Amino acid sequence: MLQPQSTALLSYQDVSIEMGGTVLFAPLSFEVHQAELVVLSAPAGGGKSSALRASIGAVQLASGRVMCLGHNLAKLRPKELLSLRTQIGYVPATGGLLSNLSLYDNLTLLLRYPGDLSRDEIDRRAEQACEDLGLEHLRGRSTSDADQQDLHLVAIARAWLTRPPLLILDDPDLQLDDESTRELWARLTALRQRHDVAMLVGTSRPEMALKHGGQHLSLCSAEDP
Amino acid sequence: MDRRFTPAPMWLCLPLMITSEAISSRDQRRSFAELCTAPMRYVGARTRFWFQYASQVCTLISYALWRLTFGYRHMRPVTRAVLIKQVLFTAVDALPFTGLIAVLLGASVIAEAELHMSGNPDMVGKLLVIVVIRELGPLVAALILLVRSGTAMVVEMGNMSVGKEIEGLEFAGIDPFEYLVVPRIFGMSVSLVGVALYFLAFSVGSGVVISAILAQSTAHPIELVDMMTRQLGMTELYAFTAKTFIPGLMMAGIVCHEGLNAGPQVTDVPRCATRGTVRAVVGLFVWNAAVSILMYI
Repeated sequence: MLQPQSTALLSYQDVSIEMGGTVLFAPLSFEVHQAELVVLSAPAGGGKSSALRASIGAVQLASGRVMCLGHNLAKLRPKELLSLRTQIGYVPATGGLLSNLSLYDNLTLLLRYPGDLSRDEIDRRAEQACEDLGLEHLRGRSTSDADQQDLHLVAIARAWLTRPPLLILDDPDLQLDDESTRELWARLTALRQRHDVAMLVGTSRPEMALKHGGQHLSLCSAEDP
Repeated sequence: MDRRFTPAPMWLCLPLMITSEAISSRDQRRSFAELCTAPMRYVGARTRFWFQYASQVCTLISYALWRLTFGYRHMRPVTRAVLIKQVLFTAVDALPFTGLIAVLLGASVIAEAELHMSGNPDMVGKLLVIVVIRELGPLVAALILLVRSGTAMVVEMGNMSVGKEIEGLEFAGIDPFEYLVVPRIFGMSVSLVGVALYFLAFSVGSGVVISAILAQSTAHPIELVDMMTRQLGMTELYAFTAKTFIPGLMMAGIVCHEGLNAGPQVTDVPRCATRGTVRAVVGLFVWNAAVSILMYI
């Protein structure tokens, strides 16, 4: 278990989640600090995604407290929660891209949404994010035609576009072969080292992530002694 | 700002005080609760479901209207872009098809009128106003939009719901209601007003042309237009607004509600599409009949 520190970007304190009357995992406590990589692993159905969703206040906690960027998520109103989510990069397992937009429009949606940036500035930031993640030729490409690896990368680039201090990735290597997973982790590591961004990654295959120097947390079943 | 607690007036609290005095014991409280909920026992589960459903759709529409008017001083450029796309798809793309239906409807109404009411030109003008302008025009325009755009909307939202795209928006900090629902509801109602006006222009125009072709025994086309304009008044304007803007809100509210609540499986999408379309059609006809009856009263 990680020692709690006051400067944590994200902190879980005895967090447990209940679904359909079943507690998904034993109370979970950890912290994520700047430039740190924390890998949360569990077998499929072990509550990994729910645990990660707790970091953005998207699930009801059965017990405990989650502090994100200094805010207690349980005390935030829905509007404040939405605003906080724009300051964190959360990438769900499905990517969460809109199929009716092109890849480029999906990528820039978060920057276009507040409506306070010029088109040139949006293009510049999008180019930079693409460069950071090694993405090319997104303009004009439809989301429904893109392969799984590109979808994952665009979803990560979309979350990275606003330069959040913390990236939360749910199963980023889902449906990727070994070669693509290696490539993805190399890019994520480069991003973390170059920009000091903290990462919390949920995966059922932690070996590859741990090769890149992450700290490993394994979710235990609530029934385990 | 000084925010002092203002107690409710005494007379307002009196019934509550009397009731709470009277029902001090648990049994009395239970029988009082049973008395209050007694009417609900005579209402079937189906009625309660429809009441609940209607209140959910009304809440969705009211919230969308609030967001459009008082909630935000300005609409975000991204939302405005979705709204423009919605209007282009719902109204502009539907114009050729709507024009064709309008011409055919106007022609058939005027042909029937010429056949059965020749020699009574006043009645022909009146019939065009009642049948086309007050009743069929707004109704057919609404049905066209529902079939063309309402079904597309419910399938799109259903697929987004199943593909967890709506969840993805929410997780990224984008309000799905503002980005997806508000422009669709507003776009549909504005489009319906425009398309219905276009429909009326085409059907009345075709009626006048057909009347000019067939008018050996009845009025001259210019006379017909004159007779029609004499029939038009504020009632027609109210009826037209009530039968276009509000059904637009209602249809979009129903299809968005169904799309957002599609189940987790891909097979749930066609089911929610059918449900949404059927409910919107029923709602449309019920509203249309209610407005017509109100106009009569």
